[in-house]
Amino acid sequence: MAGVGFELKKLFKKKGGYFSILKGYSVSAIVTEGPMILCILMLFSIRQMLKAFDTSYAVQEMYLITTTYIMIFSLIFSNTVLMFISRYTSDCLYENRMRDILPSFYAVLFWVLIISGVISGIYVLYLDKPVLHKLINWAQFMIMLIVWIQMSYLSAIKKYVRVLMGFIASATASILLALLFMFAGMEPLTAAFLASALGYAVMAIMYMQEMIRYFPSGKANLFIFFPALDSYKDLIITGFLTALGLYGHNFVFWFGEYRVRVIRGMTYCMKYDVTAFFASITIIPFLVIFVVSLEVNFYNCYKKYFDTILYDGTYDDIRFENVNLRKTLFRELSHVFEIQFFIEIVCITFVGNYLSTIGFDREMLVMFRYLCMGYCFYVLVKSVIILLMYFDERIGALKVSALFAVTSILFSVLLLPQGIEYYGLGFVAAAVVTSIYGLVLLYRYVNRLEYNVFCKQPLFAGEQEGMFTRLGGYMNEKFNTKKKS
Amino acid sequence: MRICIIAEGCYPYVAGGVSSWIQMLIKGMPDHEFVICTIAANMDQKGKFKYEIPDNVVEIRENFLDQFLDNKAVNHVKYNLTDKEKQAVLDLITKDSPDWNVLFDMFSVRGKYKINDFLSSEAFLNIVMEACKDIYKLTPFNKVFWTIRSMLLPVFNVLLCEIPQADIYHSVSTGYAGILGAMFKYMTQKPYIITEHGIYTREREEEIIKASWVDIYFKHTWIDFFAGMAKIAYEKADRIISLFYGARDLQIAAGADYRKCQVIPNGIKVSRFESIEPIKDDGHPLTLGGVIRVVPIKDIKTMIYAFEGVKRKVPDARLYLIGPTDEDPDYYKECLELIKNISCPDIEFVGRVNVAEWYGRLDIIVLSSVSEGQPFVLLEGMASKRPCVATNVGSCKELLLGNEDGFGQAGEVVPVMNPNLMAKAILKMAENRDSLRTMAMNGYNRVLKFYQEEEFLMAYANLYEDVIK
Repeated sequence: MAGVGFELKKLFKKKGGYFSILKGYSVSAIVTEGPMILCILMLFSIRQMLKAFDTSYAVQEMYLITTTYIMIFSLIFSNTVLMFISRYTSDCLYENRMRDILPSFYAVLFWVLIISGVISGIYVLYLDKPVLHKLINWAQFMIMLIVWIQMSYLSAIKKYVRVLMGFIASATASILLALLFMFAGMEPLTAAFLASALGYAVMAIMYMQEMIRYFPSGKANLFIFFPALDSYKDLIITGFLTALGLYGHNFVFWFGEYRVRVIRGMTYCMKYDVTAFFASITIIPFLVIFVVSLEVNFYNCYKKYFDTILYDGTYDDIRFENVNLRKTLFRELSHVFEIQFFIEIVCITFVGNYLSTIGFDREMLVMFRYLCMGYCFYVLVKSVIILLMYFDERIGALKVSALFAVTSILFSVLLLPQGIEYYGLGFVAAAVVTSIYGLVLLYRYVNRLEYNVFCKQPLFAGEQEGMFTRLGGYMNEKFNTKKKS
Repeated sequence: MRICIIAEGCYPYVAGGVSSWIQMLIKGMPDHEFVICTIAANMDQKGKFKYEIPDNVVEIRENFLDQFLDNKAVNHVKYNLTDKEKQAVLDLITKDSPDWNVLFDMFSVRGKYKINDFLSSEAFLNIVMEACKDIYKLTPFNKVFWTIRSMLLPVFNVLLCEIPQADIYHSVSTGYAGILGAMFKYMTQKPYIITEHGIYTREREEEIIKASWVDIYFKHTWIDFFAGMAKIAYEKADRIISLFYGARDLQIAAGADYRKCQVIPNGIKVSRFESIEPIKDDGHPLTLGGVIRVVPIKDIKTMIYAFEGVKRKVPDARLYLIGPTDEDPDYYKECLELIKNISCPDIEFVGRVNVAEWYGRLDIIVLSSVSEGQPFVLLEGMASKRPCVATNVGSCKELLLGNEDGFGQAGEVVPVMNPNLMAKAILKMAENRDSLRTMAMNGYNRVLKFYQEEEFLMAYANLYEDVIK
């Protein structure tokens, strides 16, 4: 089973024409991007509320930037461990070490909270804000870290609906609480902060209940995952680099001439950040198509190939499946890219005009067009990383994510002095360069698939079968890591 | 002169016929220096010697089939093989006669290929794939790959051993020892001798056919592989020695050039048994004795069953089982249980004793082995003026019936695993004490003529002199 992809497959196999196909697409869209959209929905609702309560633009801006900061940085901190967690839990599930899962959650949480708690704590102290706000914001940051980590554990056992329910409950709770607090006369910004934090707390509590229900309790051990860290430290680095690649280019422009300093230590570049946000939304179709087309179709060939090896296929059988796998892989990859390219062209042509009506200026529109092309190639980068993970080619995935993180920041830095006309081109260049590199890497890898499958394994027999099977088990869980970044 | 003895799976780790033979050879040639190049299965055996190493052994080089097995010591290197090298490796895994000279150059300690890296390289994978277009076309690829890897690992491991300085290389079997010998010969061009006690390829073949760990697809692969190793050893050897004529014929059938083949039988120190009196005619009960290690290959159970048959006709008969019982405790236990189940009295396990003291108490020496080379026990029995009953394995027939040497019968030969015929043969011999004594003397005279230690040592001394010229 390929995580979500495989469940969707069942959905698609039922007869019923277009309607059911559309349903399939929408379900996968909700599952993959639902949580993200709900977060943004919540953000905007509360912001509207602040507006309604006649707060100044500065207050609204403060709310927006604070919440965005919390979200981005909690994602970067948690992303660092998410891939590792996915691998660790799937190993636990495969090896039937269910009792290790819950303790590993507490242990990971312990270390992540301590490290990010200290770093963020120092940062928060430096900010020029009321102490109460500092406390609430810091608490929300910690709670969101917990939530992201809980999500990856719940996804490991495919509790997608529960994850989504959590978001709905949390968004609802925070909106209602905000309303309540504001009507009750609380200072609006405090009310907004407190409601957001409590909303996420609701989510964390709900997830915790689910986790305790599904994972058996085990002996507490703060170092339980340390041995696994030995073999999967590359996943930690890849996780961090993936998140850095996604947001790193934004950071660069916080040092540019168009930056806006809200308070000391909190800066953003409205022109670039807002544009990048809208451009990033255009990849949602990709996420859907990737799940439906590439993962489902490719996964079939992938499974067949490894089954053939495992269940006594001859050399000719394996070659046959190999050809099939490679064909499907690159066919689906180009299919995904074609559609994404088409979507970006449509967005550039039509959405641009719409954006100008909601306040995008000429520079932002140019930037938007660049970034759309950038995200079009980013889609390839993302696909390649996921596919490399499929083959347990963790070093390859690490290289690609590292190249993207480095180039997207470096090119942006290099182009920064060229002025606003060049904003966004750095990201495009990074995405193009990295996607080409990634494709070459993937192409080389699958062209030498037998070599990679057979010769990269330990020299003498023993675990070779367990290795493949475990790989399969890992793949089931792996999908969740993608969703988060 | 310095002689390098290449011993696989015996001296000095395991007590037994081959090991005693080596010990005797070395002790018997105090003027020559010996280097022992051992090959044992795994590293745990390192330094655990069962023999007191004679003073003229100047060096012991221990090699283990798993000595370089280390999953961490693997680098992923790109190798570009020449066509010749590719063909040699391909032939190694598909045929029994690859170009070993090329393989020696590739994988010896001075070769440019590191085995761990090579077996993890794409070049190697491609060769396996090549084989899959041919003889493994219908065999599961995963299994082909792992089998071939595990087949090549120990051989390549052995090839990595440093070449000891010596004037003559002498391996005491084919197999891995034979491969080493062949390589030493190829590298140094010094003379190389093989002495085979049993026929290695035959023994491996039996083992592989029985082994459950070898997949049915690959029984042939493994058998051919060992046959191929024997072939190259025979090809490189200057002399191929067997202990008896039957073995010589098998060697020739396995590819040995008959012009190189020679028979040098085992020899014993007859003086050790000189003082033993001939069988007494004092009406003592019929006493049988097996001088054996209690291990399955000696098939003690058949001997017990046969004795039970004897016991029915001669109720006061007794059986002594003389030799260590601790080598295979499970088998020993099975034997004890068997004796209990068939409730057969008067069987005694004597354990580790000085056998020379025991031959005198016996009337007939019994040997029920399923496999033998040239068993010392029969030579000793004959030297002690005792008739023998033995299964028709190894050189037992030649020893007891003689190779038309005019000495006459020294005992009876019966088929393996046939307690009935063995009991019958014993009873027939025991019927007439006079004929027992005649047989005993026949055997004694034969040993005096052909199987004396001095002769044996002389033969090898001459052989060494001969090949060095």
